[in-house]
Amino acid sequence: MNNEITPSDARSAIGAAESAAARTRRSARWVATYIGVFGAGFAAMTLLLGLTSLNTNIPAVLPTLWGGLIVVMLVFVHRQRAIASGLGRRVPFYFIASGLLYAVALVVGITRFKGEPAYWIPAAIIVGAPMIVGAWRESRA
Amino acid sequence: MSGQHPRHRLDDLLTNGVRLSLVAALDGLDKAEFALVRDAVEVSDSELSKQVATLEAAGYVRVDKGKVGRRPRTWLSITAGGASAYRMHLKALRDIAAQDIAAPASAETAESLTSEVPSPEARETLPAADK
Repeated sequence: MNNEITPSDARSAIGAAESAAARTRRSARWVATYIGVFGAGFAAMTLLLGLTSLNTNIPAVLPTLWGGLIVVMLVFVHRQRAIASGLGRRVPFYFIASGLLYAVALVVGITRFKGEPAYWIPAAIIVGAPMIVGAWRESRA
Repeated sequence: MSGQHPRHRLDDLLTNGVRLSLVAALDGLDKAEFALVRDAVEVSDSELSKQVATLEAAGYVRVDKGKVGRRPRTWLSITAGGASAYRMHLKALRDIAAQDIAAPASAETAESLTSEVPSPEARETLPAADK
């Protein structure tokens, strides 16, 4: 059988294999959306905490927003049909990076810069950056 | 140069087009749902099941059955051995595919080289100054 394969057969086989691979890989790019939404969530929460009084007036709002986002994203993940290799290593890295920056931004901002957009807007961008960069990288993988 | 024709490096199991597309669809993924692979490879459920069973028996593919809610789901993943066999097969296919790009070029070169070397008869008729 192998003896009969021609260069043209080989090219067709490679083309068919690459086309099947491209389809499943497209289905595995959902993780870019997942990380990007959480990145935007981190940035939005940073702004809400720093620039509004939601946390003091209605303390349940921010935990509810976080909880809602997590539930929606869990449903989103459970609907996915392909998981890219190495996600278990890469995704926690993005979460830890943004999570640590979020914690630092809140500790510094709430004690010194409450209500100051000049602090909170750049802080929100920096907090969301690791996840936005992660989303961009995963969308190109 | 290895001296061995790339066809000798082809994996017999992967010379089947459906099986090759199946492992290609799984390469680079942790796992993929059966239905997604079926759509990517463009075959029926039964044909995919048959080829998955062959690859599973060879240790190239792993099958995990589970449930999401009440819906059963079958996940397919490629093993390390399967991924390595796929990459070697793909390399052999690329080498074979490259042959007919290289072949006409070598034929042309050979022709131009022989046309520059006079035949023994022609050499005998060359003017003395050229000898």
